[in-house]
Amino acid sequence: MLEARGVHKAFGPTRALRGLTVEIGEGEIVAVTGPSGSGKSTLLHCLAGILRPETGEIRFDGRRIDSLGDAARTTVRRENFGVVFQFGQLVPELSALENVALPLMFNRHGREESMLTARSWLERLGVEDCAGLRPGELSGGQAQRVAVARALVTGPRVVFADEPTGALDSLAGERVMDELTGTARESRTTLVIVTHDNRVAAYADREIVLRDGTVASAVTA
Amino acid sequence: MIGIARMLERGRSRRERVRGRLMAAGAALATFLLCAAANLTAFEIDEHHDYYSVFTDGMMRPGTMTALVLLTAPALAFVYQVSRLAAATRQRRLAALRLAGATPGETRLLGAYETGRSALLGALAGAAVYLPVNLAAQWIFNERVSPLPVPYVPGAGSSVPAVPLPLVAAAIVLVTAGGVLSGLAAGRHVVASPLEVVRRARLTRPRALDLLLVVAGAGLVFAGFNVVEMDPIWRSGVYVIGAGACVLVFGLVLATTWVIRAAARSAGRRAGSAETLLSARMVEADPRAWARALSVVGLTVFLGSAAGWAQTFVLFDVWSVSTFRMVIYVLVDLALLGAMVTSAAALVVHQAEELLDHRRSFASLAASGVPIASLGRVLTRQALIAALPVCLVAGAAGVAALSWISFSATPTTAWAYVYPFLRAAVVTALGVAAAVLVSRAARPVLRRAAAPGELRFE
Repeated sequence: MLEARGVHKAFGPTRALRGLTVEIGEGEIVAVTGPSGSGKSTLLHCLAGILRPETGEIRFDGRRIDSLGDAARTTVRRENFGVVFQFGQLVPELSALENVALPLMFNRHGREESMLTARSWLERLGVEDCAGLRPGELSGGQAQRVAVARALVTGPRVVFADEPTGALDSLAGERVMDELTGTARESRTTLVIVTHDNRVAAYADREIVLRDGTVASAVTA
Repeated sequence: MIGIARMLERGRSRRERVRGRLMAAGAALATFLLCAAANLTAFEIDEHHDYYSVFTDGMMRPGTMTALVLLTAPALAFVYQVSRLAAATRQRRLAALRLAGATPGETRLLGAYETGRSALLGALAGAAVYLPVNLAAQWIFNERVSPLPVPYVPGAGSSVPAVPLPLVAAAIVLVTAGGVLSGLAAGRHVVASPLEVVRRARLTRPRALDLLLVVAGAGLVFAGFNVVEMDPIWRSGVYVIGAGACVLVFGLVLATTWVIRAAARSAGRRAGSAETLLSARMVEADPRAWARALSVVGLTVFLGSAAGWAQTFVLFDVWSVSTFRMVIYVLVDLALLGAMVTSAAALVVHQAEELLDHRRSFASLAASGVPIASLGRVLTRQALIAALPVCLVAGAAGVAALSWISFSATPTTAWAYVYPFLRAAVVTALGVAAAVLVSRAARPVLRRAAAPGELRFE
């Protein structure tokens, strides 16, 4: 379903990915791990079509997305992908409910319909009490669950999570991972998690370990 | 301390240097205009002169001086907005200085030194440009009509009056002090400790003081008119009216914080699209910043609308149409246009600053598949939501402020009553259009702010 083949990506003199090849199946939960600077986030950004590799191919459903223009890749992301980041993904001026409704409204859904769907996702993730609060008024764990709801609200086929528990204590991190992986399995959504935390990687069906921009090993749970 | 400041200055980035030059340019313009206003004091009072009335008439001259001083407002607003540019870089530098052992007071002083130095260089450049322009104008226009507010005395033949050097020096000091104060003001919300930089919660809500200024300004204008009515020879009344008008306009602009917040709240409640929702909520969260950024646009709309009543009776042949009056009106409109452009440039700075503050949210939205064009529409709608109420209030206040003129003359045509309102509508639309257009100028900053690189670091 999602495939990177012979991908090279450099930032100036730093070579982040060196001919990397990975394949991810539908409904699979994959953890990408490795030391700092091994290319984990760069791989995630390439797979999600946020960055374009210099050489190599990125395919989604058999269709090359790395050769698409910026607008077309944006459309692919909006229609098929959800993204969860470690920090600052919520808009501070919007309430939790509005933050979750935002992707639906960007997809031209009506306001009322978007708010209703968003509220059901907040309930599903156990943060319905926070609907009217702004991100600054939420705890780290609550904010991250709202971010998960925002990533899932459009019913994406793939969710990319870049260090989703990196800013949380272990208890809050565990809760976020339970919700994220539970919902992904329930809806057969493919989940790609970048993490350096072994406890987070343990939630995955498969772990891909990167070192110096290449796959060092792949372990199936 | 000066040594450290110079060391920091040598290590400035290209962006910081550009900021310094922009500040200096704004300060130079403000000094030039202040010098021009100060120079009017060198004219002899000659109430009967047709062509120089705006410079020499005891009643009209304060108005001309007030207009020139008001024209410095866009330039000073520009200086202030530019001083806020690259705030993140400056905050990191402040934290590094604290780590190196600087006290909080010393870091604030260093910030003030940076902006003060740019303002001083700009002020000196402004004065340096003004003096030769002044001398050249005297040489060219001696014995002829002078279109510039230079110290040429009608009827004085070849005798050249002295340039009021103490006032020119005062203009330089004033602009430099403004630069120092803006440097201190820009850093007042930042608490730099050796470990981190914390941004204090900014005042974002409207204050009752804003409304108090409106009342005080209106009171002064009213009192000024009463003084003039009781004793027309006592010209202090004109100064009181001028001061009152300034306070009133300042208060009106600040009071628009309330209007902006109400408009944004209403737009947010009714928003049917993500772009409108996002823009309305962002404006609602910090209406004061928008009111501040739009203050000079509002002031320009106010003055442009108010000028309609003054022009109407000349244009519609109630009073005599003279070339002199027409030239003055065209100059006023050109000055207003210049003020609009300068204040619009300050708005770009505000949007750039806001984008840098929100870069991670915007980058995250772009990564989730929100097109940059949609985020661009957010910027445009923000400008529209904030500028529309400001310009409407300013336009309406401008028309209302000078409507008393309509009672003091008998026009020959009904158009004389329609023209000020039409003009106010056009000026208001221009103000809104300027704000919306400059929001497009912030799009390159948006592209950088929404770049994936912004997601890589905390």
